[in-house]
Amino acid sequence: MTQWLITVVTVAVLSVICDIILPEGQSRKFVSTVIGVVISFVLLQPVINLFASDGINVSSNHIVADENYMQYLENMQLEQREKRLEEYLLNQNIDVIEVYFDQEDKVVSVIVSGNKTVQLQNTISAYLSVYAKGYSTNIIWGGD
Amino acid sequence: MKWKLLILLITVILANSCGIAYADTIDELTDTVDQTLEGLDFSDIDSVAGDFIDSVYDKIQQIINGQFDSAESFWNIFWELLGSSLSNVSAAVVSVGIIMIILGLVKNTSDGLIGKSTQTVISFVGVCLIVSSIVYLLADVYVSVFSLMDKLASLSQASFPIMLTLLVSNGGNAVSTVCQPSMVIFSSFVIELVKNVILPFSVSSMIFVAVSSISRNIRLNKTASTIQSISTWLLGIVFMFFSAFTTVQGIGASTIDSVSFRAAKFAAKNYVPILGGYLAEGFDMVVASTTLVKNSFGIVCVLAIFLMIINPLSTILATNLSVQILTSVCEPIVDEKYVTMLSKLSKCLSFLGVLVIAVAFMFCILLFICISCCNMV
Repeated sequence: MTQWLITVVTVAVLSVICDIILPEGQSRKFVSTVIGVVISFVLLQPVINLFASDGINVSSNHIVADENYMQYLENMQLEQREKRLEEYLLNQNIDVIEVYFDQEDKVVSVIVSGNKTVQLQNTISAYLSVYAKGYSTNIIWGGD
Repeated sequence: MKWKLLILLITVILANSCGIAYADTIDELTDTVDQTLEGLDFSDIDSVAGDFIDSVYDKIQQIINGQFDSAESFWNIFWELLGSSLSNVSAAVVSVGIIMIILGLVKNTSDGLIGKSTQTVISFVGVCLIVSSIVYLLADVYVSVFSLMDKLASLSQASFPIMLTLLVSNGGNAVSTVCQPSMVIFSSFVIELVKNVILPFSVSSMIFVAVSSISRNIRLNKTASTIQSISTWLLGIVFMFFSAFTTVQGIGASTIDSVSFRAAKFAAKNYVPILGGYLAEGFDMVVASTTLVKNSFGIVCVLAIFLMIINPLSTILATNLSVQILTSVCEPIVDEKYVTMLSKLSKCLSFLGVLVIAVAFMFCILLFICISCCNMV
């Protein structure tokens, strides 16, 4: 582009110098006509190159969501879910030590202190069937 | 009396416990926001916007904490830059004005004193001096605009993947489907079109206007007008289509995401017994933190765009203003061809200013769509 502009300016300046130097007559008119044709050709050069070029590339490879970061956020949400379930079970007077969601095996493990009772087991299973839908339940009793 | 004291005591205890619970929630939210920010990599954006923003991470934290920059500070920055640009270009413009006035006076007062050929040579030398000075002045402006387009392209390539990730994490599936092609089109097609077609056309138009004024035998004014007209139409069409499609589709997609989110909450509340209300009405810390980070990040990007364009824009404005003042001051004295040349060059500069604002506005529209949608906490 810079080269093209320099060419246009050079031809224009040469034209003016010729206009000043040459005497009046046929030769001056002839030279002016030739220089006009040269300028027109130089002006058309980028248009010809535009048709010969590949056009503008539209590449979408670089604008994609970061899968690693979404996995990182998913892990954070899982930790929050575990914490909320622990708090909820504690509020229901169930002595929960820890809640753990296993994403790969789809298992939720609840570690409860104290001995196993049928009533307590049924209560915890009922809560988990609602709160941890799609996960199988594993209750670990601290007194065992 | 005792009953009143008892009620007052219970009220105070309840108020304090609510206050304590609120403070605990805010602390937990702050920790979650810090964790959310730590997972993001801002190194690319820091390298692009490092001249304007010290640290993107710190700026996001400031905005999340409610520490916004005042509008007055932006105005002060703009006026300071405009003042310094005016003082930078004034020397060149004044020297051009002096040459033009001398040429005008020589032409009007030298009838019969010097020969026609001598007058032609003096006129030619004077025109070359004027044209080369003006073109040198405008070349600085064009170089700064080219450099600005490169910076905007780098900023878009660094910021769009992060924004897209935050949108998807926030549940904005429809919006991300709409915004991702717009982001690709902006960062590759629009910027490349501006750098490789529109800006070169504008430069060519400027050169042709300048060259046409050297000699009456070189007639390139119509060529310059045609090229300028093509650039204007191209910019207008791209701006209209990009802005219209992005805005309409973005608003529509945002509504889809909002409805989907509310439908999921409704399902949890009404079809999941016992814990349904607890789940539906609960405050999701991670979603809240990603919403805060997404919006703050968008604001930081808009701020970076503003700081990037303000310097070239003030240079364009100052140069345009100086050239127009020069034209109006010299018009009674100098030859009409100089006045015409300066007027047309001033139009080229105005087009440059519009181009910079249009590209920045298209970038900002995309960011505003991302900020305003998926705020479903």
